[in-house]
Amino acid sequence: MTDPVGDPRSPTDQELVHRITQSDEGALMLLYERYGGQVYSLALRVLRNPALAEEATQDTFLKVWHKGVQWSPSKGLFSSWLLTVARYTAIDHLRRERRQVLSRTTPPEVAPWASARLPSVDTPRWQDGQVLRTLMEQLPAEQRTVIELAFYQGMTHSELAEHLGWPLGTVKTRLRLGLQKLRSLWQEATQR
Amino acid sequence: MSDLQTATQREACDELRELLPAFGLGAADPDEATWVKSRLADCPEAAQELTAYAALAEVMLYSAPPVRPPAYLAERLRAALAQAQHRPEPAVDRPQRRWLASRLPALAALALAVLLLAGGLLAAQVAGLRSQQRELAAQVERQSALLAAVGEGTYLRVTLPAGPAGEAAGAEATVICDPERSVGVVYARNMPPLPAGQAYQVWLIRGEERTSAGLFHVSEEGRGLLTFQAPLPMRQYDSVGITMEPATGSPAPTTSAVVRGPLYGQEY
Repeated sequence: MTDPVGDPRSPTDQELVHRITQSDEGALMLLYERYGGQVYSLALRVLRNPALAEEATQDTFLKVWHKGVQWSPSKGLFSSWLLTVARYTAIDHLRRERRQVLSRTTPPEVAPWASARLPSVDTPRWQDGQVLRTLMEQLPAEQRTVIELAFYQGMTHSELAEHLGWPLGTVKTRLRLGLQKLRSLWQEATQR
Repeated sequence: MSDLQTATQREACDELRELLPAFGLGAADPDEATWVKSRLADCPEAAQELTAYAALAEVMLYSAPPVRPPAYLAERLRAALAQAQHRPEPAVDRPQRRWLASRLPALAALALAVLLLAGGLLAAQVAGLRSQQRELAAQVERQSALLAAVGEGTYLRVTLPAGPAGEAAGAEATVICDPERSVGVVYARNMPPLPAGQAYQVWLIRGEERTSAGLFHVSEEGRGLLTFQAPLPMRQYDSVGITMEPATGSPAPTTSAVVRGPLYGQEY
């Protein structure tokens, strides 16, 4: 597994998760140092509310504390597992709060709370994700909208149709075409 | 397999492939998802395609615009972990934590006010406090920029005298809280040194009921600070006490009070 911090003396994610199963708080805080920014960024993108994003971030790491043993290298990268937990945690918060996205047209980059930018995260996955975000901007707006709502708000076809007031068939088509095009753009970008 | 069967299967696979992008993203409706799962084994090429969409969804996890979390979030997590060590579930439920999160600036203002009570000794206090107190003070400093946004509050400020176990040392503590709210700060001074494995525990007293407000340690000078959230608005409590307890906390006081006093009747 790639060491996310690039320092061979740093404990690997697997080692830290193992230490967490032995109730080592320091290990969890090391994981927070390593991934807290990514988790918070994702939570903020889902919730668009700093206070709720903080709560979701904290809940995510507490889940790791209680359930970290559920991850193993066979399940893939720890960071992907962690961000999946973070995504569902944030979406749960979103549903519980019954909050709708504040503005589908306001990118988080210009949102007022986004002034404190995260220093560049030097992991290939993170860089891939940032590339993918720029590729999404090439999609037609209606396709990008359904993809973002589906991913960041956890909406299904029916929920998207209700939320957007579009016919179900239109939603399905736009989501499918958008993802097909995004996949194609991604393949082009990664094969260069 | 007959041509008809093959054609039917091909149509089913085509239909399946149309749903794969949404399924890979988790956006298929439940009935669609069930159907996709039931058909995947019959369409090997679809399973391969699904892998590609699942990989795309994984990369999307990393695509959020990067934003640095607030510095105090690490301290919040550390505090929540400390609570999780004592109880199977976080001690503060979601609405309370949400309430607390939205009022962190106000808490910071309270904490800073307590520190300022010591009259310009903030730096010395910070240096003397143990790590938890140091981090809290640092949090206060970090949040001080937010103080301008915090309006004037009608806070209650009460000094609690020494109890039986604190008289020799001249212990005392100041409580600052808003009677209508459930947050407050305790700033203790001249507290006796803590033996290893012990901590001071703050008790909110309501009739015969004692509710723990949290644990704190003290510096070599006997100073300690605790910001707390009570289950009820502070006007519901009669008095506050501090006892020496095991570092993991006790469900009820087990020793004599080091500091103890009523919350009301001596307000200034």
